[in-house]
Amino acid sequence: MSPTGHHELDQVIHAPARLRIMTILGTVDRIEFATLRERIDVSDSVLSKHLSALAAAGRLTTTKSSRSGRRTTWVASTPHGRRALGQHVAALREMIADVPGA
Amino acid sequence: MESSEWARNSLEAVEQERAESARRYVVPRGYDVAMGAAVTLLVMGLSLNAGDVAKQVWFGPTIGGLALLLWQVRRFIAANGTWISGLTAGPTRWVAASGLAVEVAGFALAIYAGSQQQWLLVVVVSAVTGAVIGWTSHRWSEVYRQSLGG
Repeated sequence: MSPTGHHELDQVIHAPARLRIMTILGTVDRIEFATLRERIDVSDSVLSKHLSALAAAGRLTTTKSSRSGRRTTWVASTPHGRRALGQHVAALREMIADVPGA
Repeated sequence: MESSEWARNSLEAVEQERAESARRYVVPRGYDVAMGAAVTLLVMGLSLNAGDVAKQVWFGPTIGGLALLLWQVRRFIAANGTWISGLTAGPTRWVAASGLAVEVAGFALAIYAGSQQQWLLVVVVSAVTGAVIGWTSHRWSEVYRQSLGG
């Protein structure tokens, strides 16, 4: 939140695909990489780039495990990531509320 | 694009994604009943153990309950590609916390009954605890979908 009492947009989750990723992560504890890729409808490499950027900023974590004999990558939001999403959404709501007649 | 219009579009995308999560949420067939049955078996197994009965008697329900519980977790993950513990923030947390409180109370009462070798009470408490957990599991799914706008 800014010194003026307004929420601020989170520049890391600003991009549409990243906002979708963080929104999905906000509805679950963790999600498989393949399921997330299907939801976002992007290639493995594009999703990996987004996840790396979000992980580097502390918004999410990835862990690898084995399920039914195959390697699975799990993606989960961090507490910081959940707070950042909440503040970003609050900032978006404020932007609409600040428009006269909205 | 004006910033307010962009903000409106972004918020719509958030709402759509949450609704999509609700739409995709799948409860495997018989999941709630199986979760209740698993808890019934676990409560029964641990209270029989507290009653100092032979290992062969309490081992079966305990292992059976654990196996049933793990099987349901695997089924849920296979169906959804996600895991949701139920204790994360949101209205579902209260449903999960209530279920957990009933479960802890059920375990405590059944173990006490087992230690006093009151077997009828063990059976009743185990069955009631399992039934409440099954219903809580069902209710949790409803609240989860509603909380996402589904």
